[in-house]
Amino acid sequence: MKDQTPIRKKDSGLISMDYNWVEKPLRQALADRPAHQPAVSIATLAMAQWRNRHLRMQANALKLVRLRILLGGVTFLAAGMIAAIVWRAVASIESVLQSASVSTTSGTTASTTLTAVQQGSGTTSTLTLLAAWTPTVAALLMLAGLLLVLHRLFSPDSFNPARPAAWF
Amino acid sequence: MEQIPNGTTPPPEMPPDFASLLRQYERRVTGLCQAMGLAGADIDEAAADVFSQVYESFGSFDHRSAIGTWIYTIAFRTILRYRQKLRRRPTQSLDRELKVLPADSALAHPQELERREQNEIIWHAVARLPPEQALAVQMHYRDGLSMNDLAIIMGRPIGTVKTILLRARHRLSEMLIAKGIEP
Repeated sequence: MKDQTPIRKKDSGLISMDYNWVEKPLRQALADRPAHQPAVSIATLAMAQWRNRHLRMQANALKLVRLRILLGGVTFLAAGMIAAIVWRAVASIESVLQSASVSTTSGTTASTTLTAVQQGSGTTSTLTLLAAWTPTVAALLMLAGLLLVLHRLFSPDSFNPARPAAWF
Repeated sequence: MEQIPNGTTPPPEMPPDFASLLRQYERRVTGLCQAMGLAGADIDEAAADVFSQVYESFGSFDHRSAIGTWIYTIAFRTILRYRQKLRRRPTQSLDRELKVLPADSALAHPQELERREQNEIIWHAVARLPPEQALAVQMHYRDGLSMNDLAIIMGRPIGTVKTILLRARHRLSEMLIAKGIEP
């Protein structure tokens, strides 16, 4: 009878063992293993899982559409508010500048007007600052909102009749 | 013997191609689940997940590989995921599976009883292997898949697959010798 004890081999410096004796009982045991008996038909379960997954995907897509609409609305709202602030700020600045130029006794040069504004009250300084930065911030916000909308409108899957959800 | 409810009868809306595929591979997929140590409802759930994915991608299968290899690939990934889930739960014993074995003739034939005990030890040993090794052992030694097929299914080079199988044999050898099964 052939000796089947593990054989120690030296192979390129590494010591490996011959474990091939395991193959025979392993094949036998795996072949003898009784098949699993499902409590419910696997086919029925598979179809149910597939349907559930699709329902979940549809629900998620709907949530995403709602979120996008909300984000778009909030963006435009913020942009509108910023525009209103800018408008108010510009109007205030205008009135301050006008009063400064009236209060200047000598000369009507731009440097006199600027000095009057710089030396004015705290409100005037704030308005000056607002007038300087608000248009930039408002423009950036509106640009972001516009990019969002343009992205949705012109992305490859937009206006695909088969995927109306992607239009948003 | 207990009758399987509905057996492998597919739901009426299932395409016939897919239904025959399911019948052909159902036992192999559940066999992989068993090799991984899954039991009972976990096997049903994992196998159903595999076939629901197969059903979903069935129309877009590009035939670049054999359909069996493709199904095994899906099964391999899905069952590994289920094994991860199972780790968080206590391990289930094979007792339920053993109850399925007919015990009438075993007492009359001691050799048969001994063989069953040995089989049980080997099933336990395979289930205790690392997940990749257990699946590779099942696919190679039970389902007869080649190294090439295993490499495609596992997404590993052939050399790595051979090493995985060698390590599996090594560990099995140690476990079996410890349990008194000697060469």
